[in-house]
Amino acid sequence: MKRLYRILVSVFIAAVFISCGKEEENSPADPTEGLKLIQEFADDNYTVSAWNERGEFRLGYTKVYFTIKDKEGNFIDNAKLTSFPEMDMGMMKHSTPRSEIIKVSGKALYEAYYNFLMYSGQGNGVWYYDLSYKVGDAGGGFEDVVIDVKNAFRPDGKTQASIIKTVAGADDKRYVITLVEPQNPKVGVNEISAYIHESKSPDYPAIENFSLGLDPRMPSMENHSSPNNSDLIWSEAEKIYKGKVNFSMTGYWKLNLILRNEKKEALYGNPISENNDSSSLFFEVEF
Amino acid sequence: MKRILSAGLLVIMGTCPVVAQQPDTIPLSLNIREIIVTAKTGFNPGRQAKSSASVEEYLQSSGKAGMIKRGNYAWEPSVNGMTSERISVTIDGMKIFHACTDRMDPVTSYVETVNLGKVSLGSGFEANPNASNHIGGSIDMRLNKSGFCTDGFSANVSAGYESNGNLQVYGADMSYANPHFYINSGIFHRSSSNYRAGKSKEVLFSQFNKNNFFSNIGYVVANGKAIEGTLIYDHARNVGYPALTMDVATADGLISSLAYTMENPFPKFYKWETKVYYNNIVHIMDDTKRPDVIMHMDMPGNSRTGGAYSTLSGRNDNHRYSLNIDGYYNRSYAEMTMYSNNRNEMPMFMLTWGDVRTINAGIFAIDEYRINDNHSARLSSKISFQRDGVGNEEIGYESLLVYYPEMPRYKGRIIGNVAARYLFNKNGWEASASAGYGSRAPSVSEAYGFFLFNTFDSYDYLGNPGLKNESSLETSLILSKKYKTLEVKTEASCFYFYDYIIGKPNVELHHMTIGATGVKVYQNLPRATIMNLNLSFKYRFANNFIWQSNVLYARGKDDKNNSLPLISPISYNTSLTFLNNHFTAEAGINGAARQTNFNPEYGEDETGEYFIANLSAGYDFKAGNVIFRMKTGVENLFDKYYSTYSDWKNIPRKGRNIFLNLGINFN
Repeated sequence: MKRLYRILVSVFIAAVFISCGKEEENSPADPTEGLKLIQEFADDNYTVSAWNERGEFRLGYTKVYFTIKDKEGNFIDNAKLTSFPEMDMGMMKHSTPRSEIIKVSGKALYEAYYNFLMYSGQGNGVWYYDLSYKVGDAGGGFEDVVIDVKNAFRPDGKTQASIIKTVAGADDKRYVITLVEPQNPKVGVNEISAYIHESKSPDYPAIENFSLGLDPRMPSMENHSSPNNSDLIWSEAEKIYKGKVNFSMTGYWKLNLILRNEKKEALYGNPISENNDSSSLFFEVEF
Repeated sequence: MKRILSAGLLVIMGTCPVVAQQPDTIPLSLNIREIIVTAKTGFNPGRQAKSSASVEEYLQSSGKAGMIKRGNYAWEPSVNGMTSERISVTIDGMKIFHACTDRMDPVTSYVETVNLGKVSLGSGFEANPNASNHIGGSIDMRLNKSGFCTDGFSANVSAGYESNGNLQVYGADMSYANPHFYINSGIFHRSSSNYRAGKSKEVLFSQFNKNNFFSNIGYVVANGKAIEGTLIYDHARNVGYPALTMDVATADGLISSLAYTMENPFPKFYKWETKVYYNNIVHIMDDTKRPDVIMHMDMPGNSRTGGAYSTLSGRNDNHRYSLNIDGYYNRSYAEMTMYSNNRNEMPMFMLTWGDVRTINAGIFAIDEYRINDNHSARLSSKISFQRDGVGNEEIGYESLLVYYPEMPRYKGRIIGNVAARYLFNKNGWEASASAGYGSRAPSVSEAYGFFLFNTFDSYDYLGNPGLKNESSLETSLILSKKYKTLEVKTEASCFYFYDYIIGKPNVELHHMTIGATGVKVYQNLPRATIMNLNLSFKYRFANNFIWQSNVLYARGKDDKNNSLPLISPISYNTSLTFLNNHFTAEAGINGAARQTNFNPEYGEDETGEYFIANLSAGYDFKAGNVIFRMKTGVENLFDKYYSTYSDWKNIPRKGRNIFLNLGINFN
């Protein structure tokens, strides 16, 4: 009995030590905790790493975090980063809607999003990526690094999910509409958000003060819908279009949309009616 | 023979009291009907139905309870034209709630006749003290306990066969009783293939298979103090529901209780009974046997109820009174998983009852004052507190929030009733007038049900957590006169509802079920009325004959004078019975007039008139310690093809059916 007790005590003490040791290792607040590495870009002076929750670039909205470390392994928190992705399809090249890379306050971390219009290999295209940094007066960069943008699938793992659309509006301009939230849809009330960019390579200017009419449907349930959804409207504070989408059950939901300009004129998409069970503009959410 | 008769009646009437010799129920009331169920020992000419009848058939044969049929099994009882939400159904005072969102399993389906001694049917607020949320009436199924008798050992075996549907019933039970201890136990099997409606039309998916086990045990721990326990396990499988789009794979009910009874606990009180109970119902639907399923789905349901009550009964001079406290906690959970025909799509999952939790505690008191030999008055009241809400936050509550963004997760309610009755009797005349006012909380489905498809009107029903309590002002008048050979009785009851709860279409909502017409949301109608009128007589002649008849009329209207659904048209039955010591024979007809007060808004259409004829004969005899009983007969003699107002989607009732029951009792 006494021996058993002693064993237990020593196991307990060992466990405490091990766990404490682990904590110490990570303690200078690793800014990438919970993130997975996508790709590293290293030269003689600095290593820039791209991270996100899935550890991959993917078709549609992809949030990316960056860290930059010096040769001693110290995280740099006063760098400036810029990037430029470009897809080379042989006959043509284009970039994709994206944000600037900005500093996350309080952390040695930088963030950006890319709304990838295509995945790597689509139309035999290759994504090339330029990344440059500036730390104080020093600067450097990486050019034409091949990145791998994965396709986005529905839960069946086979069918491409409809989460980013390029449309020709009634005003003769082309727009890219990208679904951002819900990333983790649930039964009940969900925040929904999206970006609208003008489809004008290479800059893809963000469009403000438009709106997206929303009508979620379940095509395999005789186009069942839920009540109390809110259209996506421009949030000046968050610089994104925000609304509410309600899911009465799990399953495959088609989020039918109507793109409207600041004068509320419909530019693309159509309302659901008896003869028309889908809008020409829609996203898919399935869970 | 006379000895057998009285011995039999003694047992049937339950005069092997648990403890005291005094009557242990509320004084006999004109309104409370007792239907004797158990096919127990001895000769009982008063028993109307065949001994192999189901609980539902017994209730139906009383003429006091209507039956809504969705098939051959698990009929839903109605009292005064009201069903589950408005009546209280208890088993020996225990609360028990169905587990199927589509009402495929009224709780009466989880017991067998062999489990029951009798059924008390109450109208309006007259009920057993443990009833809650009963506005139309109550059904209390009293268990078949041996009681502390001096009977010693006895055993019964019975078998029944019915030609229509090849229905088979087998049962065996035994009991041992002495003044300090009893145990009785039994097993029961009932199964049927598809039945045939009149003109030999087979009703597909009307098969069922059911097994039941029960045991009661009692022990006198000290003089005047006894402990009693009950266990019932009921298992049905492969139950078809021809009126619905789904069948049932299994329906399981586990019912248990433990009671402690004291005789003369205090001066002026003769009995104190305290009981704790728990029951668990698991109901699994099945659509895999249907040929034309649009979309396969899984729909399991579960209802668990635990509770306790304590009843103190007493008498003093001309007063008889009873005090009762009771409480219960129910969890109702039902889910639905739909498998899209597009096999690439994820299954669709929802909670149709999101673990709805109801806790209810109440206090009840009743006093009957015998003013003199001719006059008596009675007053009763119950107040309960109820808290209900959605236990499952992640899906149950969140999905309701889509429809009711402001809804709180839990809600408290106070419900109660007060009722009074005056009774006069003299020279064979009996007159009673009663009035009551009370309320009920919305049922689980009415408050929190999520897209429950009703095949009757083809609407999806959405619960409404904001419903007000429904209340009712109820009056009833009963007048009867007994002559030496003739009894005539007339009864009238009227229910005037406030905030009557019923589903109304909401065109803004999208239905969910494929093929549904739309969505109905439960609402409070400002007013509704239900009226019942019943005339009956019983005439004895030539020593051995009884002629009895009964006519019933009911009417239900909503606030716009439209008909309420599932209210009986004029219906009648009449029968002529011959009986002597060993032999009974009965010829009867029952029928209904054309249903003119129907309401298409609730999926009703006109139901035609019908009448059917039945014949039966029974013979009992005794040889030594063994009593043999047999009964045979034919139901729906002329093989009429018919359905009644309460047959879901007009599924036809049974055509001609020849039955044979045999029973042997060893003492």
